[in-house]
Amino acid sequence: MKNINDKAGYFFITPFFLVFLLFNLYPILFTIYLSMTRYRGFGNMVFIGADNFKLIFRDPNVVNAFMNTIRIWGVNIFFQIFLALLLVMVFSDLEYKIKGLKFFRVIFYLPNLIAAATIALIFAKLLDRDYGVVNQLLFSVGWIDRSIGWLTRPLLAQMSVSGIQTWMWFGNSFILFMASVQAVNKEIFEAARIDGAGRLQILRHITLPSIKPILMYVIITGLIGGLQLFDIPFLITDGRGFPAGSLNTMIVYIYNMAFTYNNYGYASALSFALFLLIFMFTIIFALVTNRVEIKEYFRDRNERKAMNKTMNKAMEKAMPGGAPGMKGSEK
Amino acid sequence: MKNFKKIALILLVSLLVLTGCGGGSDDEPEVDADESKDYSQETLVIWSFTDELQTAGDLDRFEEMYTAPGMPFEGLQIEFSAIPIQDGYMDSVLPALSAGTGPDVFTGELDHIKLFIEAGYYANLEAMMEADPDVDVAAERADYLEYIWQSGVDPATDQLAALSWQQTPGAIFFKVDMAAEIWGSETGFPEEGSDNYNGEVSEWVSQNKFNTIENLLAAQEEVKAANAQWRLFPDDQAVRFFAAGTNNPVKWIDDDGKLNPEKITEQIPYIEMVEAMYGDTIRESLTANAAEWSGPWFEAMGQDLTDAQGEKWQVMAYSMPTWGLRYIIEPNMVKVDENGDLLPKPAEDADQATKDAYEEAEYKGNWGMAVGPNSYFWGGTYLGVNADTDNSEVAYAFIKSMLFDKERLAERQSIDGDMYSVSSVMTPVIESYEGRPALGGMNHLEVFNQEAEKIDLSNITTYDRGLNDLLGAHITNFKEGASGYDSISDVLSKFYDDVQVTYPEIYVEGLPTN
Repeated sequence: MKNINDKAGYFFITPFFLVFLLFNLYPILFTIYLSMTRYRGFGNMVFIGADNFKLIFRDPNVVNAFMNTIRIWGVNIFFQIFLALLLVMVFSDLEYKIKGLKFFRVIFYLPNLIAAATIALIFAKLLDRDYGVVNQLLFSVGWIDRSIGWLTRPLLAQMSVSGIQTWMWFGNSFILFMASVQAVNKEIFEAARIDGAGRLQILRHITLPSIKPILMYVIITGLIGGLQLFDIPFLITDGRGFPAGSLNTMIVYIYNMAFTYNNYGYASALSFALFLLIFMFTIIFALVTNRVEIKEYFRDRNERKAMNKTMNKAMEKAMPGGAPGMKGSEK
Repeated sequence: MKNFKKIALILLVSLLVLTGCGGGSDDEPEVDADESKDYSQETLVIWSFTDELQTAGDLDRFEEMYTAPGMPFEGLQIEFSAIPIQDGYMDSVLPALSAGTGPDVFTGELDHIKLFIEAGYYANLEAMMEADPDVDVAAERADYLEYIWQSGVDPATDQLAALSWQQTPGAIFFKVDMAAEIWGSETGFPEEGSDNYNGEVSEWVSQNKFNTIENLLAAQEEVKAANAQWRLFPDDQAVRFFAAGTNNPVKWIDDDGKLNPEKITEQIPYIEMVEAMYGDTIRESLTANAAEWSGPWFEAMGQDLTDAQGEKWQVMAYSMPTWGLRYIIEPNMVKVDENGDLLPKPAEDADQATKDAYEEAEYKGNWGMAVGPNSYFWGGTYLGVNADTDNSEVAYAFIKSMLFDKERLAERQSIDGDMYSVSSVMTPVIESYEGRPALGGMNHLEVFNQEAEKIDLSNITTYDRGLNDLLGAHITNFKEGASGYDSISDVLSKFYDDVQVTYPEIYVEGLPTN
């Protein structure tokens, strides 16, 4: 009976593995194969070995696309977390006692529910240099005497996209942080207050340590998502990374390489390289942010080893013939 | 007597039925139906990037002629899918074709069909035509517009693989009243009052202002000089069709299959023009900085534009093909009432009577249609049969119903007023045409037809779209003064860098940099 139950377990996990094999593993393996071919989306795939990967190192657009991605992501993640933490401070403050947390959660999360295409369209109209509403407002209050190219100046365009991303995602981070903070016993905050701790001290010593796992989760998922940034940069100008290639993120470049220029082989090589890059970044980030825990782990391990060594030596001294059991097992 | 009447009536009806059937059988197309097939179990799968085949009644017509009871493919089902290009038509059709599960009939624009043909996805249409006693290939070739036939020829076999019933040549539509105000005092400018005034102005503008790239640039400067708030074009996308500046353009890929240096040299005047047109503000620009397909781009067709600073601008001309007049420009043109006063466009929530009254009102008729430095086309729907289809006889019958049934094409043309690529259909239409009211009664069909005859697509390759796109990106960076783009030489060097990465197989050393 036990044997049948064990086998039934395999049956229940089969659907996951089938889906995984078909929609995850197969595409990954096929992409790796494609990356070693010259393929234009039709006809024969010509095997060219590592040529596409060698090309990555000679392609100046790759470095530019990577730097664009990092800049847009970096500014976005900084402000996204900053804004979310600020709101967490305000909403968790025992003095303010702000009501309507549920309502604000919905309001802050709302931008995340709007389709990226809609957001891009709205902001393209708002930020248009010559006919946009934002410049119109700035002119009307007399703050500018020349149109600002929000989407036509490279750095401004990148910052505009970062701003849009922040607006879209800060609500998500806020909800996660807030849930984490609410799990902490209120008495700790009260005790800190009674002991005279200021808001920043509470943030540093109570709030941040309590949300650290979630903070790491937000940063790592933000990094993975950020390096794959596509929809807003693609839709807000012309899909080719204008102005001056500043919105040409890694994925926009890969998309155009495959679907505009029909160079599927090179696009696959770039995709695989991006996968390795994200993997590497994630590992480095996890190591850096968990360095204390890692150090502790290694310190404990070394201590355990040292202790075992000392104990073994002590035992050897106490019993020169060794432990009888040990000898037996060695035999 | 009663019986005699009955018998006579039956005989008469029988005679009529027989006569009718006889007439019908004469008109019935020759069909190479497969006797071994039960067509009621078969399905003809058609994919297109527009829903036109459905909305224009082509599918209904095919059903009536071929699949209705008593017809050769009786009971056959038709499965039609329309996937817009922006929703991934090519991303859907290419994998399906590659896997051998593609539709029996599929459409494409010129760039697409070049790719389909090179990949061998289209069957040899000419061979099917030759096997059909109803179709005279030589006569069809003579009847079809040269550039349309040329577009569908497979260079590997020199045989036809795809064909289109449409022709889509382009022109420059412009406001005649603005042109008269700017150039009215120049020698030879037509006097107002003639029946064909818009046509005459269009011809004068074509010959004197838009005939070369240099003149096209000068015309933009003259428009701005005549009135600081006027611009010839909404933005520089309007001149992209004139990058070659000649009706004998050099091909992008030379006979050795490499990037052609002469093509690069040919593009330089165009790059200079685009750079000269650009300005960071509308005041500095030769255009209204209204990007193609944006809200202001549409608005400027029928009204003044108001920019963020509150300044008003007027745009004079748009580069558009055949379909652009009907679907883009005319719906945005100004209309007038019986007294000739401007009629305001009804709001979205206006009552139906107001909307109907506006719909029936006449156009102001202040637009003309000129031609640029070279002829061009934009769009067009081509049809072909899947090389792997198991229903080639049915697929071919559909193509035949769309392309070689001239009565049907003439009927279709009379409904949609479009430009067709078949001379036998268009010649009588053009000769009897009374003129387009929106263009002040000008016979624009004749101009389109003349333009279409000048188009030469024998040198088009599957690389053209990608190469134009890559170069276009660097031209945009150059005109906007992006870092590292100080000269045309920089544009070309960066373009070559991209070609080396994107299409290494066509790159060659020693290409010109200025």
